Amino acid sequence: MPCSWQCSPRRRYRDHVSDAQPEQHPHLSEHDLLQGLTAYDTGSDPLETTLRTDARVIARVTDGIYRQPGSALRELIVNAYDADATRVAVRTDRPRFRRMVIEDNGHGMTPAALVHMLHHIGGSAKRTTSGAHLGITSMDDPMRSPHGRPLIGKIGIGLFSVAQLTQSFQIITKVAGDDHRTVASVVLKQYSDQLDSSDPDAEYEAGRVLVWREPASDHSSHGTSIVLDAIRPQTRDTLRSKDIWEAVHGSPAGKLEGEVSSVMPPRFHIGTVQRDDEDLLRSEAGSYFQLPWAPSDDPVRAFERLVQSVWDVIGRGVPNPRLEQLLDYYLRMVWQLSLWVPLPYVDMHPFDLTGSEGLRWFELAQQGRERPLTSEAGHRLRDEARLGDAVSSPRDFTVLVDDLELRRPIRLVNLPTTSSAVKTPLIFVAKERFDFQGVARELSGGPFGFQAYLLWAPKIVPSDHQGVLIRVHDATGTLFDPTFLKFPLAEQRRLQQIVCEVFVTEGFDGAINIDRESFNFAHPHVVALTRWLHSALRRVINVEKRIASTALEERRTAGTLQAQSKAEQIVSRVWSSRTNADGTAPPDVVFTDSPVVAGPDESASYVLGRSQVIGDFTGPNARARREQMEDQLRRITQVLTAYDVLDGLSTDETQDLIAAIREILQAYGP
Amino acid sequence: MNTPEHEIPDDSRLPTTQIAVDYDDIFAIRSYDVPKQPSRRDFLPWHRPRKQYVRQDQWADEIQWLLARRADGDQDLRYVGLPGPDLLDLRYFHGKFCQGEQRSLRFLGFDPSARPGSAMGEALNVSLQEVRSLPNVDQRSDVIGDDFRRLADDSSIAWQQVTSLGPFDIVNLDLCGSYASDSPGLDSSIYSATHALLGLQHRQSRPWSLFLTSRIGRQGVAPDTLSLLVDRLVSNLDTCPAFQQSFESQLAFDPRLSSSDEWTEGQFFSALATGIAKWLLGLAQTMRCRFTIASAAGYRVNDGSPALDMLSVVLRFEPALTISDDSSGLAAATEQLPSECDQATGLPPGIANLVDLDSRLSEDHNFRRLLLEESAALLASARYDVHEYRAWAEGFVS
Repeated sequence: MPCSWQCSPRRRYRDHVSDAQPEQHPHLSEHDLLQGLTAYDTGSDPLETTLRTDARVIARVTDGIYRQPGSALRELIVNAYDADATRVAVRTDRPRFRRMVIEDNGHGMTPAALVHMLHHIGGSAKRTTSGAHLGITSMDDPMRSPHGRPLIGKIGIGLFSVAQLTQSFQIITKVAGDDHRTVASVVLKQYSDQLDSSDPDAEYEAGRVLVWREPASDHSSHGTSIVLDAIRPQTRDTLRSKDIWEAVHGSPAGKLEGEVSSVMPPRFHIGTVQRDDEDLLRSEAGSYFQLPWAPSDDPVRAFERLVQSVWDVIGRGVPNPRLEQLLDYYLRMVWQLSLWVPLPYVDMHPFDLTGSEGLRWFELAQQGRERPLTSEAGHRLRDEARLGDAVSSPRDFTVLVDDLELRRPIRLVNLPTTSSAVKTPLIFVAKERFDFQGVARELSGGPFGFQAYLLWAPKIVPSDHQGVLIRVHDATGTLFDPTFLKFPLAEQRRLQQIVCEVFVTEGFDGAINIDRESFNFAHPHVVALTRWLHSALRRVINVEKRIASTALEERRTAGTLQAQSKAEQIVSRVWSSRTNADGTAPPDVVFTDSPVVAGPDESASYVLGRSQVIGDFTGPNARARREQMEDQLRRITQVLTAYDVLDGLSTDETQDLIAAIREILQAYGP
Repeated sequence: MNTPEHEIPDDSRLPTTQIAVDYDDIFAIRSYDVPKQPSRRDFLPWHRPRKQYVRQDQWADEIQWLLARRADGDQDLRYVGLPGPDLLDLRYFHGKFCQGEQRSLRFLGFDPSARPGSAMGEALNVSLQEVRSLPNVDQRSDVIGDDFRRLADDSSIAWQQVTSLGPFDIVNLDLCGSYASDSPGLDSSIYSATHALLGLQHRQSRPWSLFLTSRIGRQGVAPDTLSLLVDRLVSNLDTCPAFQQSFESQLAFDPRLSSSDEWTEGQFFSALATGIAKWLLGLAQTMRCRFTIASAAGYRVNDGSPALDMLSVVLRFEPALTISDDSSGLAAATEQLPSECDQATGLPPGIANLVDLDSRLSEDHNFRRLLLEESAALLASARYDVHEYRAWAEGFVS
C-alpha cells in the first residue's frame, strides 16, 4: 500500500503535553507571541499560548451561541467575505462528517492579525481604527474591508463559532507577499461557571493554542483554511439527519412499546452511514442517496437543479412544498446558507427584472399610494423605480459547498399558477430613509435606510419563503419571518402569497442581536421598519384585492363561472370566508389511478391515488357510486384545505386521512 | 443510637438507574491537552532523485501522450491516486500541464493523513491549501482518509467519491510496498479495489493510464497470490506460443522449468512483474481495451539487493469503442481488438526493456544532477529545506 501507510515518520517533538494543573497553562503575551512568530525558525518548537477572550461573557459566546451547525458555517463564510475573498469552499466528507474544511482566498491574516485575534476574541479589530494596521479593514474606512466591502462581522466571534461544530481545529493562513504561512492549532475549552469563578470582566482562557510558521514558496498566494477534524458527535448527528434516519430505520436503542415506524425518508437526501461502519453507506430503497443533481453537473447547474427539484414537486402531489418535508438536514442547511450570505440570485436580482418575465410592477412611493410602473420588455425595474445601484448582487463572491455553487434560491420567473383569480405575479418595490430628524443620534441609532420588494404570487415556493427577510450588507442570519414582524390583520392566506426582502442600506446594524439570528424589537430602526412593512402590506393586499375583484367580475361577465351544486356552494362559502373573499378558488382535487402525476397545469391540485384513497368498488352501479364518493371526498378535501389542515401533511398522510374519512362515510352507509 | 439500620445510606450503595452513556457520543476528544505538535517531515526514500525520473520521463511523458490525443477543448485532467501528504506529484503535474494553460486538474487522493488525529494531518492540511491555491486546480479536488481498498465495496463513501469524479485520465497506484501483498479472494483487497476501479474506467472513452509503482522482491508478497499469478503465467505460456516465445526471448528463462523458489532474484522480478501485467491485461481485455506497457523502470530500495526490487510501470489502456462482431452476419465486420494472446506478446519486451534507474543515474552524473535539482525545487514547494535536501540526496547515487 502507499508508502505513508506503512512508514510512520518519527515525531519532531512529542505527542501530547498533559497538564495536571490546567490553570497554569503557558501563556505568551500578545507581544511575546508576535515576537516569537516574527523570529520563528522553520523546524523549531511551535509557540504555545492560550486563547483569550476580553471578558468572561465573551467566553460564553465563543462556547457556542448558535442553534445549528449551519449558523457556524455562515459565520465562517461571512468572515471570508469580510476578508475580500472571491471564493469560499466548504468541503465535507458527507454523509460521514468526520472532517470539514472551510477554505477561502481572502487576504489572509498576518502573524500580527492572527495573534491579535487569538488574544482578543470578541474584541475584533474590525470596525476599529487598528483594523487597518492589521490589514483587516480599509485604510480609509474602518467599517469596510481592505477592498471596500461593507463589513458584515462585528465583534470578532465569527471564527470561534466553530465551537458549535468542533472541539479542536486548525487555522492555516497566509497573506500575499509573505514567504511563510502561519498555522495555529486550537483546542477549545468548554465554558463552565463552575470551573472559573474569577472576575467576570477579567480575561478568560477559552482554549489552548500552538502556533508556528511554515515556509511558503508561493509568495503571491493568500487565504485562510479552517480545518475541523474533531467534530462534536452531537453536531455530526445533526448533519447526518440522525433524527430522521432513526425515525425511518428505528433507533438502535429499540422501539417504544407499540411504536410503529411510518416515517419516510426525505425526498432528497445525501444518504446515511451504517451504524457499525461509518465508512459505508446504508442502502435505502436500493440506493445510497437521492440527490436532484448528477455527478457530471457543474456546481452551478447542480445548485439550479436542487432549487428546481423543490419547484418540481408541486406537480407531483405536493402542492405546498416545505423544505423539511423534502430535504434532509444537510440539504436544508445548504439552502439556508444560500439565503444567508451575499450571493447572486439563481435567476436574477429582483431589481433587475427586465419586463419579459411576466410580472406587474409597482412602486410603493414614500407616504403615498402605490404607483404602477411600466413593465414592458426592455425596461428595467431598477431604472423604472429609480432605485440606483446601491442594492445589487455581488459579482465577485462564490461559495462552494461540496458539489454545489450556491445561488440565492429565490425565483421570479416561471412562477407556478394556481386557481387564483389573479394569475400574474405582482412585485412592489420601495426605497425608504428615516433620518429621525429632531431626535438625538444617541437615541435614534442614526439614520436608517433601505430598499425592499414585496412579491405577491399565487404560490410561494417553498412555503418556507413566505414572509419577510431583512438583509444588512446583503447578509442575514434569520429565516423568512412568516408573521411579517407580527402583522396584525387576519390576512393569513394572502400573507402566504407574499415574499419580501428588505435590503438595509444604512443603519440597522445595532438592532441585530449578537447571534445575527434575531433582532432587538425595541430598537428604533426595527420599530420604523415594522411600521413601514405593515403599511406596505396593507397597500399590497389592497392592490391584489382590487385586481382580483376585477378579474373575478370579468370572469362572471364572460359567463365562465358555472352553476354550482349545493356542495360546491358550501365549499365556496367556507373558502370565501376563510380567504376574505380574495378572489381565489379552492384548489382542484384530482383522483388518479397512478398516485403521482406531474404536469404544470395541475400545479395547484391535490392529487390523490384511487387505490390508496377510494379502494375497490364492485357490484351494481360501481362506477356511479365511486364517482359519487370521489365527489364527496373532493368537497371535504377542499374544506380541509380552506383550514390549512393538509399543509403540514405528506402526500401519504393526506391520502391516509382522506381514506379514513371515506371509510367513516361508508360505515354510515348511503 | 447509631445502629446500622439508622445509618445514612451511602449513595454509592443506592440502586441507580442503569442508563448506558457512551461518552464517545458526547465528546470528539477527551482531554484538554495542548494541541498535537506537527510531526517532523524527514526525507524519505521516494524523495531521491530517481523518483523525479519516474515523474518526468515516465508519468509526464505519458500524460503528454494522452493529451496529444485529446480533441480541442477537451482539457481537464482527472486524477485518482495515493498522493501522500506532500502532494508532490500533483504539484508537478499542475506545473507541467496546467500552469499557464487552460487546463484544470481535478484530483481525488486517498491518504490516511486525512483521517482525524493523523500524525501527518497538519502537513496534509497545509499541502492542500498550497495546492488548491494553484490557479488551475479544481476546487472540488480533495484527499480523503479512506483506505483505497474500500473501493471494492460499492456502499463505501470511498466508492461514492470515486464514482462522482471518475472515470479518470490517470490512476496512480504509487505504493512503497508490494502490489501483491494482499491474499487473493478477499472482499477488501487492492485487487478487488483495482477490479472495481477498472469497472468505472470501463466508462472512459478516451485513452487513459495506470501508473503502478510496487515492490517486486520476494518479501512482502502473499504466497497464495504469488502462486495464483505464477499459475496463470504458466498457463498462458502453455496456451499462447507467441507469448511463450516472447517471454523466453526477452526475459531469457522459462518459468515452467523450475519452481519460483528456485528462480534468481532477477527472474523472480521478471516473472512477477509480467504476472501482474498479465492479470491486468486480462481485465483490460474484458474492458475491450488495447493494453500496452508504455514504459517501465526499476530500482533497488535495498541498496544491497542483488537485483532490482522496485518497479515503476506505466500501463496504457486504449478503449476500442467497438463490440464483438455480429455473429448473425447482419452487420459488417468491424476492426477487432487483438486477442489476449496477441496483446500478451508485448508485455515481456516492456519488462525486459525497463530502465535500471540506479545504473542510469550512476553513469550519468549530469542527468542525476538535473533530477536532483528538479526534486529539490519540487520539495521546496512542499516546504522542505533545499539545502538540507541537497545534503541528504548527495548521499545517494540515484
